[in-house]
Amino acid sequence: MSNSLILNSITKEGVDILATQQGEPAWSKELRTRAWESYLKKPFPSENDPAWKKTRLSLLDFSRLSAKSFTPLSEKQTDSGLTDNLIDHVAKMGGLVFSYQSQENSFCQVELSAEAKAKGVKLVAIPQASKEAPEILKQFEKNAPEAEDDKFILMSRALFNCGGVLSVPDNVEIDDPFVFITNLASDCVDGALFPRVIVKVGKNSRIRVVNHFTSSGSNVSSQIVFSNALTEIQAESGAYVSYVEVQNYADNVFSLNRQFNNLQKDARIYSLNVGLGGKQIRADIYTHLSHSGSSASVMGVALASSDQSIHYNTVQDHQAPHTTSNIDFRIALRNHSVSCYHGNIRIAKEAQQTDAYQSSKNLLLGEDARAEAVPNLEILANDVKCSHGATVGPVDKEQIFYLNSRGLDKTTAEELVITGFFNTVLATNPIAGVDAFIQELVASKVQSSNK
Amino acid sequence: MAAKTPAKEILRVENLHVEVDGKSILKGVNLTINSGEVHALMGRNGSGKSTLSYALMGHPKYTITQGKIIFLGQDITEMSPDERARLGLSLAFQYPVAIPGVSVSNFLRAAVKAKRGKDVPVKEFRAELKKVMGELGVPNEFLSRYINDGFSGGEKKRLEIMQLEMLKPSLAVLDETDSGLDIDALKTVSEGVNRLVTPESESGILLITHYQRILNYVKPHFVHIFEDGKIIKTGGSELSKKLEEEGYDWVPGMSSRNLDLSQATST
Ligand SMILES: Nc1ncnc2c1ncn2[C@@H]1O[C@H](COP(=O)(O)OP(=O)(O)OP(=O)(O)O)[C@@H](O)[C@H]1O
Ligand SMILES: [Mg+2]
Repeated sequence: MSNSLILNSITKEGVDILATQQGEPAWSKELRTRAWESYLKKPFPSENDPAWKKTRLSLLDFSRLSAKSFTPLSEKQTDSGLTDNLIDHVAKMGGLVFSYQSQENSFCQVELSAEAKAKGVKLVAIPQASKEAPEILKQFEKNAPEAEDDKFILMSRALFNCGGVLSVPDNVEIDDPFVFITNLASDCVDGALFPRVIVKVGKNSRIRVVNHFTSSGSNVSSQIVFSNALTEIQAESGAYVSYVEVQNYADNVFSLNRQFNNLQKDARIYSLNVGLGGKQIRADIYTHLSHSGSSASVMGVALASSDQSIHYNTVQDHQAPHTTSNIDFRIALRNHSVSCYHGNIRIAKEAQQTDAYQSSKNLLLGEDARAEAVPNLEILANDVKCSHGATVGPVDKEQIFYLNSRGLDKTTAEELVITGFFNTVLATNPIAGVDAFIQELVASKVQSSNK
Repeated sequence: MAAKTPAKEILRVENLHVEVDGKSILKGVNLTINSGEVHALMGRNGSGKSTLSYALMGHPKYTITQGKIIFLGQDITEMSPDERARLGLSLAFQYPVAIPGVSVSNFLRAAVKAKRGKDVPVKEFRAELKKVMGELGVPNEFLSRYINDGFSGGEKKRLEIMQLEMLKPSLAVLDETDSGLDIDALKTVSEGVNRLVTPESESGILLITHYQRILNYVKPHFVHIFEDGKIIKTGGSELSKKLEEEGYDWVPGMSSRNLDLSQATST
């Protein structure tokens, strides 16, 4: 039952029908239709809106894009379009794979490991979440103040149709990651995807999550398709979540990602966002340090080429004393790709003795590449450590000469320097097994874009 | 000089003039190095020794305005640095640059592959590395560290020599590789340098230094004095000993010391 709804003509009733088709209960339909009503009321961001003007929203044509629901595959069936070694080698604890194909949308679940089951972990696919994890969905209805006012988050709350809910009880420690995969087949011409991942981690638990957005197939359609993702992570007291997101969509995707990290007392998050694909990447990462002792490391690595456009927006929101945040974003641009990084540090009056650090480094490889880094500080407390720094510049010629002097040609030398530029951040990734996967993707993008 | 095989010309520099940022630095350098020979190049700060080493390696900022460089019979004056390196020219830098994120082992692997024109099997490569590292007293953890990143002065110099030993160049230019080395390190590094050139080998060395002490270990066949962009005197190993004792003032053609200090660069 793969009904599709054209985005610009969806009514409140349409959303209700979509929810009904997914067999959702009344409360869930109600939440969706309410979100959709707010969405409809909210104007589309204007071209001059400072929060959006660096994102090429004009690429989106909602009269062409349609939302569809996903049907479950039986466990034995493998997903035809996707060969992904994350599933074979990394998703040992369990995972979910959603695949948006031209003909059919489907999803399958990598069964939870015996260890995860025994420890009480729950992993529910979004199409089943309103029945199997209703209390979590209800709880995550309010993720952050920002969300109330954002047209695309409202859209996602109304239409989310893939992804999953991962819930971990207190005092659980698991090394191997849980894996979410969203595959938007590259030959899709009218796809609109609304992935939502909710991660709720109980007190003193320590877990790892990989969230991978990708496109299968080599035949890339020239029509822009849309992925509007929402990721909500909640770490309760003393919990530690490592989250690695990799986005290597085909270059016809408009990839919008909003991530909310909510940290309770003494909770920690390590977050790494790797952005490689897509025509337009827009990612907002909000980290709410709302209880004392919480700390966050938010890392980002992005490589763009041809006419790709990247816009990252990070918010380090310190609301409580003794909180720590460290943001490190590295962007390399080839050809005439462009990027913009907005780094916001907010320190509330009561958030004394906090420590906030932000670094943005941008490497311009193409002569026409442009990068912009805009820090924005709002510090109301007086006893804080806060620093930020941004660099924008070409590759260091002395480094290239050094490598040349050892026989490496210009191309190889430059590739090595770019790889190195990313590696200092990628080396902080604590999830074993994904680093090789990421390095490979980065290396192949570095090479393929080097023309 | 006591080469068993007949000496072969490795490098011939003819009337080399070099400019950097529009400023003329080298003003007619002539130098020939044959296989099996060690040439020491000495001279005051700012006389242009590093400029010569960069120009030989082909640094894009150093423009050759006159003269030519013949390496192994080929005119390399117009060649890119990486082509020169693959031909067998190498430079141990006075100030090696750090490249964060690129591990020494990945880099060496790529360099060895480039120089030899083919991939070296991992096992073979490791064995070679192990040997060189053992000889130079370089700890294993160097391999996983990033190139020169956070390295001490002496560690950087060791890494330079380690690279030369892996790449086995026909001409190694060593720019103050002895500076900043402690007494033991100087000895180990000198031994490494001596392994690069033997009477039988088809290679030569141009060793830039301020001090006699490395020349006690690496015996030069020729000592050149560099001043204001050219070689103003050439002699045997006795020359460096005399410099050590008497300084540069006696050397004919040397400008007065006060003048030099005013334009000296610090090391
Ligand atoms: N980019 C530049 N612009 C202007 N002058 C330069 C530049 N690079 C080098 N020079 C000058 O060229 C001269 C030679 O410098 P070089 O580094 O070759 O000297 P050196 O003999 O190696 O000195 P040292 O013994 O201190 O290492 C110096 O006066 C230096 O200031
Ligand atoms: Mg010098």
